Amino acid sequence: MKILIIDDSLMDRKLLSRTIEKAGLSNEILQAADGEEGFKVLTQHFADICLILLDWQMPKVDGIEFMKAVQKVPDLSKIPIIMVSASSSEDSQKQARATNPHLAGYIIKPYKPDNLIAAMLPYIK
Amino acid sequence: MQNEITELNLQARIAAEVLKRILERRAGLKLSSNPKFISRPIVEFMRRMRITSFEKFDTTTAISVINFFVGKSIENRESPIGTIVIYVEFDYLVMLLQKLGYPIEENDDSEMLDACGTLCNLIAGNFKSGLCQLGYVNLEMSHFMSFRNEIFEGVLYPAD
Repeated sequence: MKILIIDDSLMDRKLLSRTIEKAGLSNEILQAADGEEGFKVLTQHFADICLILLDWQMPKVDGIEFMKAVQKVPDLSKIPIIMVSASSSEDSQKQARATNPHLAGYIIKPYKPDNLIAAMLPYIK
Repeated sequence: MQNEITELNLQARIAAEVLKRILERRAGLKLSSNPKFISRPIVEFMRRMRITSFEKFDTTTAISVINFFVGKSIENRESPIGTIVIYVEFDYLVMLLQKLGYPIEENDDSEMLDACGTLCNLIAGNFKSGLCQLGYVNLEMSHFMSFRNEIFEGVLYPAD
């Protein structure tokens, strides 16, 4: 099963990928640099994607707008999303959960790898 | 005027504390001394803030910028209420990002700029939480923009 990482920071995508690979959670990681690209990748590979790691602040389409778009498509909305964001305030987390009531997790950057892995484990097939 | 200076000082202290915590807790780095807070006039051209690293550093420097806006309105995107600019020398940037656990390639310019932007995003996101405590709610952050040594076209900043 594949994991999709959507983040405009190449460094953050690399770090997430390395963390996932080191934990042995997936051997196929898809990447996108913004929500628009992420949506395209998702629609092409949704049958194989078990989890999405999603940044918030991105150009073109941000994390919130991505989640709104995904929720309009039943097949896509079933895929769990964990938000991985530098926005650490409670208001930000409330906004994310208000946008997506089924949000699988909210990880604050900079994160400890163990915390990220623990959040991901329940959704890895 | 006194109230404005106090508010700015408070924001500066929050930003410094955010950076200190990121460095200490995630990179295991301690600052050699307390941060200095210096107030300087903004050099403006065509209502944009001029940005250059040459006044600060002698070596190649990455510069990253994130703006803060109120709400998601497109109209507001020309009028930020705050701007964070960070300057990091390339040599220091590699060490810092490696200490934060990032797999950075030293000889790749685009990765260096991305790394600076990633750091700026960490600071801005956590700074935004601090601003919420001061009553700045409904804040939106831009994505980061990174440059090498200077920003010719300048950056948006809260001109009022």
